[in-house]
Amino acid sequence: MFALFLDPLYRAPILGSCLICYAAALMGVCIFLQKRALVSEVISHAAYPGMIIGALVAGVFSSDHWIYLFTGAFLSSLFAAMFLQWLEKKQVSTDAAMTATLSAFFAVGLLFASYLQKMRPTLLVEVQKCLFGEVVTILDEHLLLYAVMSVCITAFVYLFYRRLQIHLFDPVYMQVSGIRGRLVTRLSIVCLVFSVVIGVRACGVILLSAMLIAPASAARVFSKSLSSMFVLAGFFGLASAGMGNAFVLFLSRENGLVEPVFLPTGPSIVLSALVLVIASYVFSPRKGFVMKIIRKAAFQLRSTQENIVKAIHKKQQGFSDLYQTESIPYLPLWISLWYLQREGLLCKKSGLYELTKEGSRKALRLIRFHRLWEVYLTKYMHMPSKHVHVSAEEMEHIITPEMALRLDALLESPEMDPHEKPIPGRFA
Amino acid sequence: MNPLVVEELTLHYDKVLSLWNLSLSIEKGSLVGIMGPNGAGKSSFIKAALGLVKPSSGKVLFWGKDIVKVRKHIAYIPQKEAIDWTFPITALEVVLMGRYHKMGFWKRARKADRIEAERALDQLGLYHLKDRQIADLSGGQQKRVFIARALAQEAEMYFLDEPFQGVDVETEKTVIKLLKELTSKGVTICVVHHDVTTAAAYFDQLILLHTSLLAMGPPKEVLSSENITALYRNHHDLFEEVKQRFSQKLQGAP
Repeated sequence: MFALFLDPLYRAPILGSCLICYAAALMGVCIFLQKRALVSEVISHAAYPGMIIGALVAGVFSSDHWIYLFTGAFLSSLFAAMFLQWLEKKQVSTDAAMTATLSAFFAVGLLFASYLQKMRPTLLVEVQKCLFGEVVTILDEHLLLYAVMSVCITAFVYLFYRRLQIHLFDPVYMQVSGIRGRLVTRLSIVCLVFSVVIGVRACGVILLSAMLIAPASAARVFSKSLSSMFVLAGFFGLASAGMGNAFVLFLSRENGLVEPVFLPTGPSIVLSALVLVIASYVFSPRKGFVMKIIRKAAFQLRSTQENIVKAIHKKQQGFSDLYQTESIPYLPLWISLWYLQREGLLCKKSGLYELTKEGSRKALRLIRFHRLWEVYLTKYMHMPSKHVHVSAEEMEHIITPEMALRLDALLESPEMDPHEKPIPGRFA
Repeated sequence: MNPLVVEELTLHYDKVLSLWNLSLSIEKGSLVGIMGPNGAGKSSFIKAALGLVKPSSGKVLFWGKDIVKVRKHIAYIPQKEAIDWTFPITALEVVLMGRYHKMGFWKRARKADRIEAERALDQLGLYHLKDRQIADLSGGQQKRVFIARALAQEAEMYFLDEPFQGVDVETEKTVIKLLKELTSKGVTICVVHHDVTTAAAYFDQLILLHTSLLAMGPPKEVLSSENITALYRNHHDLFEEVKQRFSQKLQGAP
């Protein structure tokens, strides 16, 4: 695998796409947080007329160097970004301004494309390649530019971190408190255009937005500050490029030898990024549904354990008694009993489970919570005392010692519950 | 020199007249409530004063100077809707923004900045939540984070745009107490406020706005029955309409 990075045929495409995806991911964070994800779409489409015109200029100098295409693309994308800003300043709504800019620039490109076809058909082929993106056309000589771009964008994010944070989070504050934001605003646009124009080469005009937005949205799930979001997005960008390349190489493998790549890498990278996004939403620690299931199961298991402790506090019981009287399913019961024994709350003597000293304390505490809640419901919520047991049965698992203290203070340390049963003391 | 002097301020917002010929002056260390019905130009007044929108005519002077020169002494606490609460940022980081002007060239937070930011959070009872993401704070806590930012900024003039919207009574009281403490130290504070019943207890001065200045002075005088009836019975409607029409014509409306 490592040898691929040295292989003259593969090292440029692999390293190149990694650098591209990394830089795109960093700038993607900015537009993702500004809720302007579609800007990347506008800028990438606006690269097309620039490349066509760049190719025409190259024709004048009878050269076919890639730098003409690149410069043209960069300038026209930058122009599009500025045009978009100007439209928005003139109170055109953002979505309308974006749509207008995108189509207008692409139309210019299509107009000039027919010219180019007459004059330099070979260069038009080159431009069309960029339109759909072809990682394999990345050469060693491009790598230097990509490396410079990645370093520049990293430096920009690092050095202008606080300015960027204020600019993205609270631009009004920036203006009101007299923070000079013009430089950071402009630099962020230049960096964005830079990363998009270069990224077009790997994924093409149409797929590029995913390269900016996917790593950022995956990173958002795991980060609570802007800095960690940048770091994670950069990492996810690299990871999706790595996965995309690996996938293509894997599918192109035949007879144990690596054949020349014939699957396009761009779509594979985009799909890998999408897989990362889906995975991060599924496994998100806060909202992901895997963690939700785990947390739900953990809570149910804890409630079961507490119910068992209470049941055994009333009467020493064997496994089958618990299974029948408490109607707890077999597996959770088994797990809970094992866990309670391991934690030293329960021990088994001649087939019957009994509570240890600490176990009985736990049981008393639960009973205390239960009965305090019953008193609270009758006294403050005016519920009839025969109905309060059901609610207390659920709430005893929720109430924390801190809440119990508050309840106790509110109720002025009652000694009896509504059913005339004693409430165990705090240190019983 | 009064911290804020407004002279004959007129403002059009999207060709609609929102402030007309407004002149007032606010004294140092006063806690001023800005009141008036919806659309009376309360927020427009703050925006114009802060230079966020350009007035059609008139002048706003802070300590006798143009706002551009004194911006770092002014803190603005925006309306709840103006903030993206899903942004990945912790309470401490928000407060650190207030220290921006004191940081060096690359704007790294120094130890001194952290200490000050933490102190500001502590003053508002939020120290234990400093590493919490703002999305996970309650409405009242969110509001207090932004006041802590103004504290950390060591601003001398505060503008709060409807700070008590969607905030529980308890927080409202703590915030007012804190604002009163600040004014006793010489800070000047303007608050856009809605609740007529609490206004007298909260503020030293009230500004009653309805496009033009209806009244300004101690709450008891301003909240006199004539002023309130005038405001809420819409005696001003015809006057408003004529003024609106006039200014639209001036701007070339058909």
